[in-house]
Amino acid sequence: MEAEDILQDAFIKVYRNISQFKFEGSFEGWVRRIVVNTALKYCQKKKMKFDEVQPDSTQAGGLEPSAYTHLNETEIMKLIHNLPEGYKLVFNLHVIEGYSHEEIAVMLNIKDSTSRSQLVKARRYLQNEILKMQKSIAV
Amino acid sequence: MTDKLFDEFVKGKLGQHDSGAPMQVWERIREKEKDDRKGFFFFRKYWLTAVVLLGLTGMLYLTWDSVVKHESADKPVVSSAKQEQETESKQTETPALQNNEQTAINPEESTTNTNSTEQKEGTNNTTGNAVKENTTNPQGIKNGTAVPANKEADHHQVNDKKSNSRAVVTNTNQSNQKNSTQKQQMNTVVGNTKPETISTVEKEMLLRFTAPAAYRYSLSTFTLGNVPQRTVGPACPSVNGPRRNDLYLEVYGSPDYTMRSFSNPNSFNNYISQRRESEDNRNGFSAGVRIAKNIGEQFVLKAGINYSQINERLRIVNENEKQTTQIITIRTVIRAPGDTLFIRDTTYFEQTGTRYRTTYNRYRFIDLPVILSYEFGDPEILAFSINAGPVFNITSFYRGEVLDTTFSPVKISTAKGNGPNHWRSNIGIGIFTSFAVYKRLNDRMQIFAEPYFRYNFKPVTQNGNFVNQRYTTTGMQLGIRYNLFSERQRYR
Repeated sequence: MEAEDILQDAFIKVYRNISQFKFEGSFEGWVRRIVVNTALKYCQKKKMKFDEVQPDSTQAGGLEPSAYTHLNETEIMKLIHNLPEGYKLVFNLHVIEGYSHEEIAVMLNIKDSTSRSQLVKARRYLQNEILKMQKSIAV
Repeated sequence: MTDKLFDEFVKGKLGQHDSGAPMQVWERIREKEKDDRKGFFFFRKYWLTAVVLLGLTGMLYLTWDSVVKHESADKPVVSSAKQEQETESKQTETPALQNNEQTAINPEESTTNTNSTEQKEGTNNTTGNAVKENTTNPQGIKNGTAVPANKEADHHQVNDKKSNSRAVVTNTNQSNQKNSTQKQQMNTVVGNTKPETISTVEKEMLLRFTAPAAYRYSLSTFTLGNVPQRTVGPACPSVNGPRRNDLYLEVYGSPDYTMRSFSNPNSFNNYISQRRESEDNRNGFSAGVRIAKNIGEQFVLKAGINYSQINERLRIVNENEKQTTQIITIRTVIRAPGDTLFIRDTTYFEQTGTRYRTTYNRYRFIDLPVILSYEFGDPEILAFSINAGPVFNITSFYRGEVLDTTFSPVKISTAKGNGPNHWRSNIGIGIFTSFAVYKRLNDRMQIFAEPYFRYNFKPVTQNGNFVNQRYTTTGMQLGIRYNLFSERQRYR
């Protein structure tokens, strides 16, 4: 329901401000940015806390690329959905939407390092979950 | 697997993922869009119209109400005096009145007698007839002073139509209206009364009740709905002369002309000249409402809310605008049943020309003016005032575009920054000076014209900006001034 509400609000903003679109860049990108901003405002209302940790470039713990191949879209969506809010937000913005850490820092009013650390944690969390799934399948 | 590969894997899986939105979401968006349009339309037109109509109706109602009260305040003067007269007369029971009471038993006969008296004696004896008429009103004697003055007056008005004798009373009323005070009127009554119709004792009584009658007259004149109002009672003249006690509501609108000035600490002369060339047509308007309270006889303190808007046009001419048009032609050739060939041709052509781009900017300000006025002239005919005071900006908001340093249009924003498009959300304090002319419409209302000048101390651009932009406004306020304390006694 939350996603539907965000979508609704975002499209109403698009309708209201359609005159402000000056054909500078793609229309899809403009709409996408409005949707993302609307979603971010929802998130800001929740006043999420981002843990301040040092960036950690530790790679996934021994997962082979073949471990991911059996995952389909629904399973990946479910895994991302189960991420803690802060991790999920940064992971979505960086990996799916393609925003840089600097842009995410501005959007979420956090430090670059926070964004990086949240991304690292999110990756580690996801990889651990995939590992658990793999083990359960093997059993 | 590296982080990069992991990210690419997830993005590859979800990049084209389409979870789809339920149909009801689109329906809700469509309905919401319709509601928003209705709301916007209502707010912008019907709502404002309703507010204006309501205000005008209220003013008309209050003005009409005051006229009615003024008329009804005059009428009870006679009835109060009459009641007093009747009560006193009843108590004394003089022979003359006893005779009149006897005539009251037969109203028809009394009416006939009065008419005959009027025909014989003419208008010189109207007040004498009034005394007779008072005594021939049994209802007035029964009700005594408990009858409300207005009702009593109305009662007489109805009776006026029914009998000529009541018309005599009406004549008396008219003569009363001409007199300035009830005391004077009652003296006239005594003076005009023939000695042979009123005895000496009665004459003495008439003289005695004139004082309370005059008191009642003064009380009924300065009351609302015949209920004494201490708070809005007559203001007493001071030793130094009449005391003014007015509270005004002023509503006004003004066409404005705005002057813009630039100051450039960083000597961006080329930029400023470009700005001056591209922006023009600075007009605007303002409207507001304020409360004004007198301080002493000639000073008035005013405070209210003012809304002002500056309109500006930005025109950008690009002489080497290039436009590329792509034309895609798809032809379908059916060579045989089931054998269809699609031929797709794509052509580009480029045009070079001059492009005009016009943006209409709107700069809006909501202010709190606090003005001290010095008034002179005759308020009954034409009054003048000199006004000055600070104007405190509550909020400012803008819509439009300005040129940046590359001469490209950028949206005006109130966000923090030092670009030419970063403007203040509050421009602080300004100074307001004006000269006003007031023309009286009636006891409550005046119209006024007030040419004014407003200077803002702060520029609209934010601190640290490489160019400072300031607006100074001049205009002509036209409005209505409504006196909320017009029920009070006036001494001039």
